[in-house]
Formats: sequence, structure tokens, C-alpha cells
Amino acid sequence: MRKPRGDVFTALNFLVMGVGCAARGQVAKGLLLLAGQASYIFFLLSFGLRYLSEFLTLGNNEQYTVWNEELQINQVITGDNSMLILLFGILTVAVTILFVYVYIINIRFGFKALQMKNEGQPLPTFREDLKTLWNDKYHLVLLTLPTLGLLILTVLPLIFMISMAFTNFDRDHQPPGKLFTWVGFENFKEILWSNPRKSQTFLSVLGWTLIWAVSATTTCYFGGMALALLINRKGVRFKKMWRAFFAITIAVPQFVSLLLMRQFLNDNGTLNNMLLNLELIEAPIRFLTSDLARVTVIVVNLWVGVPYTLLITTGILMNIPADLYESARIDGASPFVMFRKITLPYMLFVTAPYLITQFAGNINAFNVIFLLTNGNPRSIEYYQAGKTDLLITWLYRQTVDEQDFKLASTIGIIIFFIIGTLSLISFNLFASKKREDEFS
Amino acid sequence: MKKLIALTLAALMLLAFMAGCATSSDSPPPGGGNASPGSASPGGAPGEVIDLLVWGPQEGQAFLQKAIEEFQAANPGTTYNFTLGVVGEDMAQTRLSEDPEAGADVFSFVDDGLRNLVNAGMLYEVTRNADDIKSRNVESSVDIVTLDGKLWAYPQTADNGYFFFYDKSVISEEDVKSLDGIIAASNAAGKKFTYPIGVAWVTASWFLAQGQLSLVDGQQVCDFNNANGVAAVEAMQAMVNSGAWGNGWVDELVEGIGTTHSGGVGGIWMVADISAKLGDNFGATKLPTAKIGGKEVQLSSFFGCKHVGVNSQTKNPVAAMEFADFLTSEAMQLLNFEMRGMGPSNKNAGASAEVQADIALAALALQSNYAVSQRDVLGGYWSPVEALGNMIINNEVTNIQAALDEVVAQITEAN
Repeated sequence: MRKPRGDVFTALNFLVMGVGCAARGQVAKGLLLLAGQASYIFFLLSFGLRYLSEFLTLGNNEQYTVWNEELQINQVITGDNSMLILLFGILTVAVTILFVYVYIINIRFGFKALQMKNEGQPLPTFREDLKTLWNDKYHLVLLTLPTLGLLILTVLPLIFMISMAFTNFDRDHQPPGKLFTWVGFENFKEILWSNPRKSQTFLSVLGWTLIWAVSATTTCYFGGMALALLINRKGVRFKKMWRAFFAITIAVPQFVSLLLMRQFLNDNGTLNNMLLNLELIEAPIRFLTSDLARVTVIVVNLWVGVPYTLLITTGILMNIPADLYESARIDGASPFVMFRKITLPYMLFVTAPYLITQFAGNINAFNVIFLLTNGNPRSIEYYQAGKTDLLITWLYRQTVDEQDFKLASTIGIIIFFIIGTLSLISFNLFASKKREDEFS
Repeated sequence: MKKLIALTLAALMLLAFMAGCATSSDSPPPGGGNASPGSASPGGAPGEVIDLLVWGPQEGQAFLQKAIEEFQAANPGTTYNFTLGVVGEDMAQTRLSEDPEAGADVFSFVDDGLRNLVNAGMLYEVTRNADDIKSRNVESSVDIVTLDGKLWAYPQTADNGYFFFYDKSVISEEDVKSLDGIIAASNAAGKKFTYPIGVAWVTASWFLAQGQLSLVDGQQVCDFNNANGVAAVEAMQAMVNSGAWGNGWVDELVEGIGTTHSGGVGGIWMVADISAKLGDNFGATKLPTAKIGGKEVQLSSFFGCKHVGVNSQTKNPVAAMEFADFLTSEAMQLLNFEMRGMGPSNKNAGASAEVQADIALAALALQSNYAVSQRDVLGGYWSPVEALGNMIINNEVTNIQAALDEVVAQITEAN
């Protein structure tokens, strides 16, 4: 298609939005575009420009006080608030991007109108445009609102949090009294290599997080499967009752069971007191406050998580064709070989996505650790972290106890990359196995 | 028609999101951070309704309610609109730093947060009626909230410390004077006592006893990675392995005392529970002496106060200050003692007969002779020392000197 030559209105359309449309007769559309431009300019002047101009430094004026003789107080004059500048700065940038998008659309509209006019086609009226939106392009209308909501309520806050990782926002740079500013990749450098204390802790905590995630996932998975197999065995009576027993535990909220477990396993808890009274032990076993805590959390997690796997696997186990086992038995396969060659591959095939989500979930298993041990026992080998701290609970401690928001945000971004990478890799591994004929 | 319904549903979904967010922050913070002196009238015009948000702990709500009623009765000329929020004294600093502009105008807090609050510019300097406040409260409680010669908060209590609770039927008044006596008495009765060295606040008592957390230029100097510090750790190890020592803090002591426990270190907030359990056998006194480095040394402690502060971002500084002043007055401190057992920082209130007769407050007063203010403790102190305490409990500290070096390095690093 030949590009039409523009006239004065086409040129003017670059400056004043909507002229391109209005000049060809689409007045209402042009006015709408113009209103869009006007409101953006108004937004910029009344609100956005101030935050945008301070966005690079995140504020220059600190809060100060002036003596007010009349009131006899040292009146506080608020200064710049770096946090608000960051937040509203990001908002302004987002609105600007939106505006640029509309601007490009405006130019496209202008050209389109010119083109159609040159070719002698009738231009769609505003009413016709609306009709198209209501009929052919209804999906656009329907999706606009949810998308807008997602952007404002999810994406913008996310960007805000992520940006904190590139600032020095911590206890010593806290609004409203103090300003914070951009530091680039300094925090990532510190946590990954340049600050041995932090990077050492990061590596140790990461190591434990992975050990925890792998053991928590596998123990729950195989524990649940073993239990399901046991109940499914021929000759076991009252199968439904056993299953119901385990299902009932799900009715108790997880955090309640965890808190009860903590009470139960405390140094002075029920279990220890019982053992002491029976004179089986001399001193309380420190389930939650010594290095043993790492084992304890995995075992308790197994106890909490097994019913879920039990329910999931029971259904799948019943679906494995019985003739597979029959022919295996005729061939003289032992129960273990049958499990290894028939049950396990079948289970893994069906539950692979479940396993991966469980693994990713366990990396961020905040509840179990926080409610059971709160990351304790602390150790001075770690920087503000404990032996059972996962990356996610370490992050929590940094924000709530230490007000080290920059470090917390950095850890958060790193967790995202770790989970993202591991999930991608494992999904691909399992996807490559998606050949149904292996099972028949 | 279907399309219209779908569109309405989409709009409703967005509205629901928005509404969900709107209710979580009850007052939208006024935008802008630019200097605007005199934009609001800090004094408050006559006839105007003054909004004040006040934070206090759950168990202090009744007290606050009563104080507010009396404050309003005492100021009939002004209309106040008080809102109460439940935020414990220990959490006030954290909650305030989340969003100072949405925070309380007047709040109670524990003084270890003072330096952070002042650094972050979150406290209004106390200037109105300052001389009276300084003179009516005990000196130590005023000192704690004075930084660089400026008064930053209103002393409310002078009881935030720890001392030793004991069961008189197990530990005699003579035994309780020394750690060895407590250990011997507890072992003889087959009971445990608690001394929570896994709690950094309490662990400090051993280092403080050795004079290791000294102040220079108003800042904590952290140098207990020396021979004295090593001796303190060795003494703690000896206690942990004495056979009578039991791990635990509030819950363990409150639940165990009278049955499995002979005594333990605790604070004023446990008095009600413990005295109810022990009845006539209820005893409380200063911390014992302990053998550190071959000498018998009196164990020290942190002394703290609870204070009322005024948020620097408040719209009504004068009204907020007047209320804070009233809340910490002699009458209100006595009321706080009657309703919650809080030890007053007010001189007259402290001298009253009821307060003098209180066993626990007397123990605290005795201990305060050996106590050190926790105001100047470095912010990074708590986490590493708690870690060290836990390692001592687990008998994991073999090279004490190296461990202390690491602790000091971490404390310094975090600041």
C-alpha cells in the first residue's frame, strides 16, 4: 500500500493530539484524544513533574525544625520523603508510558483517516466506532478494566518493591527524617560477593533452603505415597476409615497444628516433660532450639503435609491399570520391582507438575519455619540469621526486626530468580518425558 | 445483555480490589513531601475538632480509655476526637516506621527504640512544659529520653527491667543472694531456675556486670571481645551446665514456677501470674551475684522505661503534646499502677504508700542500683548476642575469643 502524503494537519497532529482525526471529520474521536493529552499535561503540572524531577535523587530536602515562639514548640517542617518520591515517581513514569502509547495510537489514527479519505472510503463515525467496540472488539472493552486493575494493584507495587533493592533504604536512611537514594547494584554485590559476612550467610541460608525444599518435598511425597500404598493393599480392612482419619487432620488449619507442635516440642513442652517423668531422658531434648531443629522442622512438615499427598496419590493409584500388575506378577516380579517399574513411573508422570509447585512452595515455606522455630537457633556464623532460617524468613527478619529494606528487597529478587530458574529447568525435564507409550 | 452483565462484573471486580485496599489504610496519607511551613495550623483553632490517634498495648486499652475521659473532662473548651489503636509498646517503633504519616499521634514505646526514632526524625521534641516534666520524674527516666541535650519523650513508667522471682519454699532469702546458692537450693529440690541467656536483653547482664558495654560520647562502645568478656561467657557456660539451669523465658517461668521451677529472671509484666501461683511463697529480689573470673560479681541489668512519644508528622502537635503530658502526669501514672501494676516514673507517685508496698517494684528498685540504661545500645546488638547466647546454651562455643570477636564485628557492621 502506498503511504499517503501528509498535509498541515498531519504535521499538527504530532503537536496537538486529535487534529489528524478531527480534520478528516472524526470530531468526537479527535476531541477525546485531545482531552487525553490535556489531562496528561494537567497531571504532569499539578502532580507528576515534581516527583519526576526528584526521581533521580529521591529528594534533596531533609526534614528540619523551626522554633515556634507562640506555641512553644520546635515545629517540624517536613522535608522530602524518599519513599513517596519513589512511589509517585514510578506512578508518573507508568502514566507517561501509557501516554506515549496513546500518542502513537493517535498518530496511527491520523494516518489511517488520511489514507481512507484519499482512497475515497467513508470514514467510520464515532457511533460506528463505538458499535465496533461493542461487537467485534468487545474483548478489548472487557479486558481493559481488569488489566488496569492488575497494573495499578499488582505491577506498580511490585516495581516499587523491586526498586528498593537498588537504593540504600535501611535503618540509617529512613523517611521521614532521612533521605535515601539510588546505589545501583551495590546491594547485589554485597550479598553475592563483596561483603563476606553477608555473602557467607546468604550462601549458607541458600544451601539450607535447598536442602529443606528437597527433603520437605520428597519426604512428604514418598511418605504420602507409602501410606496410600499401605492403605490400598489388599487385605487392609476399613480402608475408607483410615483415609478419613488422615483427611480429618486437614480440617485443622495448618498454623494451628504448627503452633500446637511448637508447644508440644518445646524444651519444657509436653513431650519433654513426659519423657522426663518416665525417666527416659536426663535433660530435655532440644528439638527446636539446637541443631536438631533442622531435623525437627522436616519431620513436623512431613507430619503436616502427608495427608495431602495421601489424598492425591490414592486417586492416582486406583487408576493404574490392574492388568499391568497382573502381567508383572506372572512374569515373577517382586513387589519392589513392581513399585519401581510400574507405580513410581506412573505416579511421577501424573504428579510432576504437583511436585514442582510443591518444591517451589517449599522454598518459600514461611509458615512452617516462622511458626515452629522462627528461624532459631540463631548462630553467630550467620549475619542476623538462624540455623533454620530460609531465605524468605531471613528476608522477613530484615524488614521487621532490622528495618534493612534494601537487603530484604535484594533477597526477594534473588529468591525469584532461583525459583524461576529451578522451576523452568524441572518443567522442561519432565516435559521431555511426555511420551505416553512408555506406560503401555 | 450478556455483554452488559460481563462488563458490570469486570467493573465490580476492579471496585472490589479498590475497596479492599481502601479499608486497609484507614486514613489516606496527604500527598507531597515538600516543605510547607505553616500550611496547617499546628495550634488548632478554637471550636475545631481535633483528631488524635493513640496507640497502646491491648492490656492498656482500659487505662487509656479512662485517661482520655479525664483529659476531655479537664479540657471542656476543646472538642477532641480520640481514636484508640492496639499497638504494644515493643511494636510501636516498627509500626510507626512502616508509615509515619498514618501512625499514631501519641504512642507508648520502649526506650531502646529512642535512638532509631530520633534518627529517623519520627519524634517531636518535647518543649512545652519541659522543665516541669524533667523535675517531676526520676532523673534516670529523664536521662534516658534526653539525646544531645534535647528531651524527646514523656517518661511514663520506670519499670522496664528484670529481676529475680523465686519460690520462697525452695530458695531461702540467703540462698537467693548468689547464683551458687540458687543452684544448690534448686538442685537439692530437684527443680530448675531460668536465666534466659538466649534473650539478648538478659544476656547483657553478664557483660554489663563486667563493665563491658560502656558509654563514650553517648554511644555504646562495643568491646567485650576481651578477657573480661571471655570470663563472662565462661561463667554463663558454667551456669548452663550446673544441672539446675533450665532454658526458657516468659512462658517457661510462668508455667513452671511452683511446680518444676524454683525461680527465674523476669519482669514486672509477669508479677500477676507468678504471685497468683506462689501465693505466700512469692518472692522477688535483685539479680544474684555470680562467680565471674574467680570473683563474686553482682549481676547487672538493663534498666528501661516506657515512654510516651509524639509523632513528628502529627497535624496537631500542641494537642498531642498536651495529651501526652496529661497521660504521664502523677495522677495518671498512679492510675496506671492501680490498673496495670506499672511502676511510676513520677517522683510523687513512686513515693506513695501503695507503690512502696509492692514486692516486685521494690525488687526492681533494688536492682536498679546495678542497672544500666539501654538507650544507647547499638541497634545491631540484639541479633548477634542472641545468637551467641543460643550457642552457649547448646555448648557450641569452644573458642570463646573468636566467637566474641565475631559478635562484636557483626554488631559494628550492622551500624
